[in-house]
Amino acid sequence: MNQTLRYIGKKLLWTIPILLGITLLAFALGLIARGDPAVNRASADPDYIPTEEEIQALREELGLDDPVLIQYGRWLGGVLRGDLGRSLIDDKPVLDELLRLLPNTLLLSVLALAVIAAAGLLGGICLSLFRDSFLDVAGRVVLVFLMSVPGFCMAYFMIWLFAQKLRVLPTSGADGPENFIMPCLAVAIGSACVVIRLLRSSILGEMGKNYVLTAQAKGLRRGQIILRHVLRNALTPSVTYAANAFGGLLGGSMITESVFSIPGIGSYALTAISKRDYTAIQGYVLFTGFAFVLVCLLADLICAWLNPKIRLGG
Amino acid sequence: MKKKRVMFILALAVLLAFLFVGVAADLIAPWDPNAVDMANSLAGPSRAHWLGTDHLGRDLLSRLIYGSRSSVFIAFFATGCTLLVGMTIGLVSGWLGGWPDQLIQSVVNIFQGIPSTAFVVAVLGLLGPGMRSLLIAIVVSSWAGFSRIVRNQVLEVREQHYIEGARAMGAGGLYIVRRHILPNILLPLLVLIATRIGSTVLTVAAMSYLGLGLRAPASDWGIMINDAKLYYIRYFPVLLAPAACLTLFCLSINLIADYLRDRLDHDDGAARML
Amino acid sequence: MELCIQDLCVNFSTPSGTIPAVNHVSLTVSSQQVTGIIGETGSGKSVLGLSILGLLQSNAAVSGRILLDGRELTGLSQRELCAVRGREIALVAQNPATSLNPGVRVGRQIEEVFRLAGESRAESRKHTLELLEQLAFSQPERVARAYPFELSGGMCQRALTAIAVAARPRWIIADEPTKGLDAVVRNQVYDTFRMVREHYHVGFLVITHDLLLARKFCDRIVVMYCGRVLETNTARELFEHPRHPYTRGLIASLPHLGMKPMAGFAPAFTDQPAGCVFHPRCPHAREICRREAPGTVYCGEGSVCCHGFD
Repeated sequence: MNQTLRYIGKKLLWTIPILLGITLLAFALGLIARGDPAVNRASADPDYIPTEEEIQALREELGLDDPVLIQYGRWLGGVLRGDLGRSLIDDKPVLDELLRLLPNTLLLSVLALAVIAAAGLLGGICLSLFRDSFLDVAGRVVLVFLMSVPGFCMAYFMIWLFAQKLRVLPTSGADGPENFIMPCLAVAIGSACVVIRLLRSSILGEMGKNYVLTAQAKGLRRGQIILRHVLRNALTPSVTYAANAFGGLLGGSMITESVFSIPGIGSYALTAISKRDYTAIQGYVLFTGFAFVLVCLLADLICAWLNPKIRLGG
Repeated sequence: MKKKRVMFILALAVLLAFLFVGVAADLIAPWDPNAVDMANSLAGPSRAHWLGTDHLGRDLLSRLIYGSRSSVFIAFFATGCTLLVGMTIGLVSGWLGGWPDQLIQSVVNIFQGIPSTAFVVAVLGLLGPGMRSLLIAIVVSSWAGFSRIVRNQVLEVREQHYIEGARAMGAGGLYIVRRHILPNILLPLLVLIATRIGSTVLTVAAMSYLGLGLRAPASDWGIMINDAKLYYIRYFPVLLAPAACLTLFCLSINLIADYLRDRLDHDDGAARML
Repeated sequence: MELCIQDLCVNFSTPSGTIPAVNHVSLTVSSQQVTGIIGETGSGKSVLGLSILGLLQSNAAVSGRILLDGRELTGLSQRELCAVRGREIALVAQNPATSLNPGVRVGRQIEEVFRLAGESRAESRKHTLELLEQLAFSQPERVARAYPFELSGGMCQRALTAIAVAARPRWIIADEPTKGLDAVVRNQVYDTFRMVREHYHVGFLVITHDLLLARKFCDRIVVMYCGRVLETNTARELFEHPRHPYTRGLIASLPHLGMKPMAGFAPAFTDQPAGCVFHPRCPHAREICRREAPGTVYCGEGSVCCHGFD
């Protein structure tokens, strides 16, 4: 137990410099941005041309004349207090806006993750259980094909089929649960196929190990052996992949959100880009970066729970 | 295994075909991809337009052909640049070891801490759309993963006894890297390059679709899908054609990567026997 | 109680050809005696052991019959075999460190056998601790909570033995129980097996290349080479009066008997010599040995398969 706590503590400590590094990176991205934030903000109203003095005043207000390091320090201080700055366009706090839009993105990503996990487990176990049968061979051909269809192409096929031809699901919006069925499936199918293939091959790899022989000699049946003995050891690569896919869903949601017109953090980032709202872009990068690092941390902890050797440092 | 080999050769042929079509687009394409013909918009297949036309009456087939030029070429070029940056850093990091390795790996960790799509979008948003920005965005967001894998491979190979042997015989660092380490990480590297080309094509298409990558009137699969989203209900091939090209390209990449991966670990699925 | 193997052949089909791992082996072993199967690595002895349990890979073709007290095991379905495995015939697999599941606590792995036999969770827990104590673990609770990589090779070996005896089988097949263990731990294995034998009255089939263990622990010994049985005899007779030249060579190579190495190498399975399989290495090889495979000759309590004893 002690060693387990120590492992978790070590992992938590390690994420701190990474999170700090991400703030540095996000800040640097803002710095190298083309254009002058002060000019951009002052000219938010297209009908009004700001004077040189007005821009200079804004410049001072935003602290753009200070040395870079001080600007970073001030910005980081804000970040630590939960202040990602205010939008250069509408002056709303970036974090509030992100948190307001997060539920839609999060719901979409969590649903998709659930589909990936469920399909991955079920498919991976079934295919390895019926190895080399017709199901396995045919299934693998379908998987390789499905995982090659890009998510947004899949999305349009689904809209065409379910919304236009069969008329069973709505095309866009985020009003009810039925709005999330297609987006979630469209992004989940590809990753689910990858997980199924990954799990199948790692289960079959584990099946060749010596401890399986011991389990067989106990009188356990194939299914029992896979569920009770092999699965736990075979899950690690799939968990890591699924965590990456989840992070990808959180940080890549703008494509799905734009196809299905769902208001989420991805569409917020797209709007920010179209309006050159650098503070918002910076905040978005920071936000998804933090979320991704935490998801990966969680995946690491799950892997450590599955593999005592990692957590006990054997 | 034999079946896999056939699939591999087929996939390679498809990939080369895309490359060839891209190179020879000027010679092959029956129409100018930007020749507007409003009288003939969204027309079905005919002798003049084999796949029909889009909403501006432009020839679909010609746009696809020019699209494979931009999509495939940016993908190959961007992957090449990523490879160069990532591999150099990975080799240096793995070969030096010690604190330089630790330092480089911390930087790698930070770059990997941001989801790649978010990263690409942000860089594109900050630099503005266009071919050059797209290249920079892809390299900046994906060199880290590349270098990490190369570095791990180098570390693995470095521990092998034959490296020690070569050292004992007085071989210098660069010599060992060139003669022993590079050849041994070549196959895993090929798998990595293949999958990376696939994901880069997807990124390019997705960014062009969002209007952040290439811009109209350039002919690109992502732009074609973006153009099609208002018109595919009237004429489905405007959407299907670029989507099918993307899928076919990714499929062949996946098959190639699968085959190389099988070659990599012969014992995949082969269990205990005696 | 008898385990009877009749004319058993096991062929593995591999991309590089068919491998005859076990070649027309006929044996009868009684649970009254501890039987040892000895031979070099690759003599097919492990395959013979696994074929009794029906645990060979799917690329193995098995012909011949294996009878457990007159019941044929070779014709049983996988489901019926699962009832035989563990309950009637148990296995102590080779490589103790890798033969335990690395991700499951040792106690859970032993409990599982009791649970399979229909015991409640509490009962099986209690029995597991008792069994561990009986197998000379000084801190049964600690061992039950440990993961395999936290135990030494010898402890893993005993844990494996615990898994094997947990369901009170009538037979235990021990596959290379001393492989990779040092001398002290080898003695522990011997003591453990002795105790199990006396306490549980199980029939033992010990597959080993450890001649010293075979001599100490076994009553009867079967010598295998290239998938064939070359000689059988009581342990004492075999070690004092080895008949087959191969057996004589094996015994002469023992450290305290001069450590004389045997000439030559065992042939590859895909490329076996005609006639007697041992003739290329045999110091007494004659013309007939190169042409004809010898038949089995029975004399006294043993048998030998050599042209020198026709």
